[in-house]
Amino acid sequence: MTCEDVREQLLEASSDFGDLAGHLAGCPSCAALAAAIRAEEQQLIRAVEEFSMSTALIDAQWAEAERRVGRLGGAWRAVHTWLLAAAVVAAILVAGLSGGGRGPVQPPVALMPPPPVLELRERAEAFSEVKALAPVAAGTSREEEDVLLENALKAAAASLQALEDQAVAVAKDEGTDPRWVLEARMALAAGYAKMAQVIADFPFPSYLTEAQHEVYEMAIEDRVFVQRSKAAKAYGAAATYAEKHGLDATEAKRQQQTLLEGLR
Amino acid sequence: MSASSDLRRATRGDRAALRRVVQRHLPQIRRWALVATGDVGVAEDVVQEALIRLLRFVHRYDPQRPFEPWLKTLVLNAARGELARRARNPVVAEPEPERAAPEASLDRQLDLARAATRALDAFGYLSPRQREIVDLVDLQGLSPAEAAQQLQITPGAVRGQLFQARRALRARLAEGADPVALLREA
Repeated sequence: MTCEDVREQLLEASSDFGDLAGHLAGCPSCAALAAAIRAEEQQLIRAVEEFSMSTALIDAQWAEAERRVGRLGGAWRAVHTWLLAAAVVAAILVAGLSGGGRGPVQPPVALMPPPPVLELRERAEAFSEVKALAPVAAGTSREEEDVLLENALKAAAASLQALEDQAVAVAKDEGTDPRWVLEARMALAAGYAKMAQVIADFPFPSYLTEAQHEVYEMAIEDRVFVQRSKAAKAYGAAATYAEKHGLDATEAKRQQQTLLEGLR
Repeated sequence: MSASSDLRRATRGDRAALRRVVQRHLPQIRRWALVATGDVGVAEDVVQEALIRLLRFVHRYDPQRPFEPWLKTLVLNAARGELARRARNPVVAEPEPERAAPEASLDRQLDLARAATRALDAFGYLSPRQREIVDLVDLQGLSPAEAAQQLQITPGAVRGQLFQARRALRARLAEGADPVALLREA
């Protein structure tokens, strides 16, 4: 084994360098390199341990956390009168829904979709194209910015409402093939998850102060959490429905699991 | 107070109990923050943000479920948020002030501090996943199989990432040791 080979292996081996012991014993240069690597790794272990075990800042960090969360409590009252935060809440409450991203599961092509399912697909497609508003242009007045953001949120909520109405129409028709019902349930769950993403991606009003920005961010996080929880439940319900009717529940379960992991 | 009793109290709004929970888990919180970010300064901010989130969201924790995975997710979400915030608003680092030549008695300490900084710098160049694997296997001593179980990936994937990480890490660390020169001397 040449020094070149050993140097290559030193870069990858576990730090006891067991397989290379023979060469290292007879080669001072490679042994020196191995010792240097081992010493540096020990240094990294110590550095990570020291950082982890340090308690120097915890009292100050805890006090700061309590101060900022306390400020949040007081600031919430102001948020209630705040147009945009209220618009987020109103839009979501009106729609009664949340977010996801994937289109409906496609049943086998041999089964011709009835018109309500075709309509559902169109609405799912329309909602999947909803995007968060781009940041407003410089020079836009506060009033104009409020209107832009509120209208964009209301449009997203209306599009989701249209999807939900159609999904419910498909699912409630007792004569509908279970595969279409599953598609409707999946489309609805995906719509909820998508809405959460739309909310999460929305630009913040540019005129917020730092304190308002923080409160707004927390309000948005809370809304996103609620919407993602609804999406996870909807996927869970779709999975249960699929299993009950002998259909493939894999995708519904996978989506539910992904959302639940993000919520933990 | 037992750990489980403190957790139950914390979910009901008992701040003192939550403070004790934090104290118990602080080393782990700091370690996750460092591994997730690879930067001591950013990691301190992540710890701060994680404490805020803990105060806000602890009521969502279900005491019937294991606490550590829930807490880890909370810290990693704080890290993602902090990294995204920094990406939106990049901080321009202030140049370090010129330092006077060290006293002889401080040389050793400064050497150690520099070595630690260099080691952490190299660690910061790894990907977050690589840092996680190096931390579990090389720093905490788990086997690749145990790390794979914890990360919910295959042992083969752990080994593959570990080799790449060790190569990248040692290549950076070995820069100081100048292996080429050492080999030339051989």
